[in-house]
Amino acid sequence: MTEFETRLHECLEALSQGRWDLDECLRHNPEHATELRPLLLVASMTARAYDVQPRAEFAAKARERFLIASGQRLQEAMDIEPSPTFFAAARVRFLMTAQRMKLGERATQRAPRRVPLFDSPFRALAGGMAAVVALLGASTYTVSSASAALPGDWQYPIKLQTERVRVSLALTDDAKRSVKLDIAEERVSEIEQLTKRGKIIGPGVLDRLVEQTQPLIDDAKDGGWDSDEAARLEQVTEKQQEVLATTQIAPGAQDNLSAAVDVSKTGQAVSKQIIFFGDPERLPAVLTPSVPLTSTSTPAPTETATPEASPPADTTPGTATTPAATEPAPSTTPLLATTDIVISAEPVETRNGVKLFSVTAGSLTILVPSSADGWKLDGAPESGVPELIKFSNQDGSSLIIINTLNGDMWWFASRNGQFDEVQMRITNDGGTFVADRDVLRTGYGNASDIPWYVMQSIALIPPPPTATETATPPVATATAAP
Amino acid sequence: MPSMASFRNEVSGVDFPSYPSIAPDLERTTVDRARTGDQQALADIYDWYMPRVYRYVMARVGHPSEAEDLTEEVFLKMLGAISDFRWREVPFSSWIFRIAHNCIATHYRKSAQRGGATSELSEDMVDGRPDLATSVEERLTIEEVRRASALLPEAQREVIALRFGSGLSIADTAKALGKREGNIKALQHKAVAKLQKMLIPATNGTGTIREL
Repeated sequence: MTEFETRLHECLEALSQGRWDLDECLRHNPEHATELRPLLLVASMTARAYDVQPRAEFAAKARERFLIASGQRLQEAMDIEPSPTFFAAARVRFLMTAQRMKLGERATQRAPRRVPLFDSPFRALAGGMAAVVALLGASTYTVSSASAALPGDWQYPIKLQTERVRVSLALTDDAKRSVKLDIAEERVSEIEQLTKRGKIIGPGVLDRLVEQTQPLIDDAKDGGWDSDEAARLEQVTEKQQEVLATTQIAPGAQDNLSAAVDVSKTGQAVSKQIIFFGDPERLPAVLTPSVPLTSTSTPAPTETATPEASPPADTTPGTATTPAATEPAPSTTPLLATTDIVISAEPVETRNGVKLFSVTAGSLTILVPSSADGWKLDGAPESGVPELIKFSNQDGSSLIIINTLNGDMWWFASRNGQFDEVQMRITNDGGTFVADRDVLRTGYGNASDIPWYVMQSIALIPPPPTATETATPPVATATAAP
Repeated sequence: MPSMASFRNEVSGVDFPSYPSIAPDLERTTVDRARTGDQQALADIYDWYMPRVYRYVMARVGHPSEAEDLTEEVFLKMLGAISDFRWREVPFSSWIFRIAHNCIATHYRKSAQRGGATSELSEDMVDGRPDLATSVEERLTIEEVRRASALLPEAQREVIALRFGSGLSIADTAKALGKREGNIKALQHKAVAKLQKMLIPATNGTGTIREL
């Protein structure tokens, strides 16, 4: 090779690797610059002419087809389903065609579908099935049977593989989640169908249900789930428990069944948490169905003012509030004039073994447990009524704070070593909102009982009309002072 | 036809397109995972190589639809063969372009058997550089280069398709085509020289791009 050729190749290599540009090539080789220049120009031009990109549409579709084919190859490599060549070829056709039916696009779509979960299993595939069958025409290979395959069927491995491909085709986390939920629905639907046919459920089937559900639970715990997704998980896990309760399992599969039920219950609890508490990372705000606040500004001159703040809707008349209302009522009225916190000498009610004492603080009356049940009133002033009163239990796992002016209540509940701030009752322009009993139970179990009793008992006595008039001037001066 | 001067102006500032490079370690671990059937690894390989393979195929066949079919075929063949891939034989990039080379050879053989015409360069190629379409003048010269390169002898065309289309090094090109490096260099030199003669004929400085 001549020296010039050596230089030319050196320059071309440097150009293609992006180390030099054209000018640098010429600077490095001043003695050949004149000859090199047109050649390098032409080479650059050629490289540019070749710098074409595939159509975006082709690129996306081809990628999907490649992934489907790779899944197919993987399956064959693993020899999941030994099958004659004919079936292998037909399977490729099926998978390719399923792809053309926009399987991948379906998988990436986020389709909120919550109601008819189990009546149409494996729906994402089903849409394409008729067309697939039509395309394959007289082929003896009935692809539709793959999506309907049950454990034990020879097509079942194909179905599992197709599912794996669907997951890998889903591009976003949301889409993957949606596909995985589809698959979890499918697992439980399979067990249901097997059970209906009187089949015995083996350990493998139960394990597969666990393997499918557990990652969803882990993912849900990691956060990022919205309530629609959680609702789907909740329905799936609920259905799982329902189905598992009726299945006949193979001898020796008892442990597998217990594991499946456990996972199912965990899944349901976790999803309920998300549905009601939102993102588990966030502090929970447990405000559910509204209990519209009846007008408190209307003069209520009667002595029996307690019905004003109506108890939560599910409280049956005559339980919590009625005794509290009847008994302390005569003594509360004069207390409005005072500023002290008054606690009844005797329990006014016992609920579930817990003795509840009546506390009156300003216009607020509540029922609270006493030291007999490990509770105490925290930091109450010698005299006067603070804006917030606090109760805590001895082991420090619960702290209840109530606003004496408007009856808002927070419960700080210890859970997993941290305190959750649970809004038990809050009043705003939309009315008064109270925590949902079921939600509390789900999240906190029995520990939520006492806060619940307290919250239910909250009653506010509206200030007499005269009081508001006399109260106005001090407020004005107070604000003017600073 | 644009004048020599305008041609020069257009291309003088033009550098080679950049070819995204994959760290050798990453490529090695990914390929090894892919050989065991890891689907994510296969997807990564696809994403890395598909555009380069497409460019190569496009440089060889010139027709987008044919190039698409062939590109897809290359990757399906790759799937079937990857478990047999051995590092000690060739670099992975050479290996995959060897598959591409074979696919194209088969394609031409079949199309010759069918009596099909050699493909012509198509006007509806999608340029990689979005700004290209904005300059009609420049676009024209790009088209001229494409046509000129289509007239190169097969062996030369193949070398520059791998070198300039896919950014393979001389060494990798040699391994992909099963030839010696000296051979590749010679073919590359001939190709570039021939292109120069076709596109920038040695005139007195006012020459135009030769009619092709």
